Amino acid sequence: MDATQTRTLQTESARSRAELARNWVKVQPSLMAFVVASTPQFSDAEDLLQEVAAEIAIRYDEYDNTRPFLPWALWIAKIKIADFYRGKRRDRVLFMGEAMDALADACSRVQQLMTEERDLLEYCLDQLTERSRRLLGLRYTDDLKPKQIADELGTSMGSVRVTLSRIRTTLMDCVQKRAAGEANVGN
Amino acid sequence: MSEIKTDLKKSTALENIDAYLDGEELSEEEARKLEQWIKTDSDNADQAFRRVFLHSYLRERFQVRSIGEAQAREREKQLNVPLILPAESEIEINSAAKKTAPVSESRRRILTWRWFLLIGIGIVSTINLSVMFIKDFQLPYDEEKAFEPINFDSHYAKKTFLMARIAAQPFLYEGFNYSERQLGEKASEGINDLTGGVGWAGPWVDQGRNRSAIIHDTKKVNLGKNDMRLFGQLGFSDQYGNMLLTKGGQYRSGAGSETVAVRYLDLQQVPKSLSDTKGFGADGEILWISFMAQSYDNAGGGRYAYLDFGNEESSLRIGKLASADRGNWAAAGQVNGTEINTASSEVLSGQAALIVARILFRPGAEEVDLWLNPPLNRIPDLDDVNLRLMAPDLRIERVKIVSNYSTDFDELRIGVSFVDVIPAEDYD
Repeated sequence: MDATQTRTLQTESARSRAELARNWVKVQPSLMAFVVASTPQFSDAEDLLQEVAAEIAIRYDEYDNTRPFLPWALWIAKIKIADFYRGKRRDRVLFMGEAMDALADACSRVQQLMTEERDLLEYCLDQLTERSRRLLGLRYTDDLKPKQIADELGTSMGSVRVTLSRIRTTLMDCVQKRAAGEANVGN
Repeated sequence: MSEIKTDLKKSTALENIDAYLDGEELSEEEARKLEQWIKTDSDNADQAFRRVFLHSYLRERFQVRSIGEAQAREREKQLNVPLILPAESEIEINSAAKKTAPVSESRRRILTWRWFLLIGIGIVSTINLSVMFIKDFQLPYDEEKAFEPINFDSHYAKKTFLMARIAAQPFLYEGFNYSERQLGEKASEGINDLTGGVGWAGPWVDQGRNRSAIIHDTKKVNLGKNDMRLFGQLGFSDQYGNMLLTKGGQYRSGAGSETVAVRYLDLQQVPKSLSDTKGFGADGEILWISFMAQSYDNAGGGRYAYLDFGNEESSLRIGKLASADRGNWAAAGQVNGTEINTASSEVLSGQAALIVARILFRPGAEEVDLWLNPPLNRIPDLDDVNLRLMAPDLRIERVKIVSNYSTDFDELRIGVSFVDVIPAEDYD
């Protein structure tokens, strides 16, 4: 291989890396959600996402850049998730198992929409009361399960579970109303 | 229709997804119904995925942005202010909803500030006392001279901060202070075989297609009238007039093709607390990094020039990044050559910047906070970070400077506290 060919290959490689980086930034939040659906322990999901990123980097030459990147990345993610569970004792019921393909399709359908909705989510979070935000903080900052939160607050797990669920539903409703331009919050 | 077919209401389905993602086990029956609900209708699948996305987003959002809030909560716990679950009516968001307790919001900010100040004073005092007593430390202390550029509110805080600053030192340092004579006598090209600084295991290895250089006078050595660096060497002045002007040389990457300079750390010189069986980057520890940088101009569009801390599998990149299209100073994690979680600042890379980073090593991904041109007379506030991101699990073995666009770097410091990495005259 002469110097010109070597230079051409290096240029191609650099361009390919830059393109991969741009693609990855766009799909990473959706991929993270997809991985979370299969591995609800956030620390496991973060580790798994790293493995997905590594696999995508290794196999990026196989990607046909005339087609959308997300479905290809989801395909890699599904392989890595399957590997993850093969290496672990499966000791819990996974609703994700049979519904994985349906969720992957949903991910591709709503990805763009959700990216746009992130700003609305910030707005809606800001509208929550202090107590609701503190409860979310216990769940997501301190990583406490509903049972642990209930123990800490001296209440029942059912109450915590229902309250958290209501807060999430409220957030989703708020986002959808704002997106539809129907909400009158803050006006 | 789908609700009839699958015998599951939307609200129940979403509650079960919540329960699953909150770590509860679903029964076989619940799981089967949920699967059916998702599979039989694409609208249901969309709803399910949006719910999962919400969990993922909230986790990221609360983890990344709530360090100050977590400390405020800790304070509240100490004050025995119990959290009572919000009532159903309180959860609703509507136009009449009032955000509760604006007073507590401002109180929380004050608590956060005080909390950080107390911790800061504690850290710097501990460092100072440790150095004084353990290392038989002696310093000529000229208070009048020392306090001249500092504008700090509390006399005690000012004193302890300054004393710690004088006593502090990074465990890794490279100021690129190689004389022209030293460089002229060297047989190898670029920065190969240069061994200055503190905490390194060996010399720099210049392994790119292009060569790096040490520049002493940027007014004379530049790439023309559009070169943003021709006005002078790297320097920084904060809002209180604290000046950092570097002397001696500074590193410059080559132009046109890729420059790669690598140097490995002497892991024996890394504080023991920062290392575990897997190397340098023990979970639960905090690391501070600082350096100065300025690029030829602000150009982005795939151009890059960055410092890379870690190893070949995973690392933290800080600088001008290919994945930050605008070309501003940015940071990202790197996994097997791919930049992930890129966070880009508003500061142009043609502007000289003092970049200070704090890495919180955690199980799994690390949390990274960056300040660009922070005030130098206090530990920067986490509320004022310019960039925040999650980086892959880091094990720092080497520092690599990678660039395809001529850029200068100088005054690289790594330490265990902010005062360790503030450029000080002692080192330049």
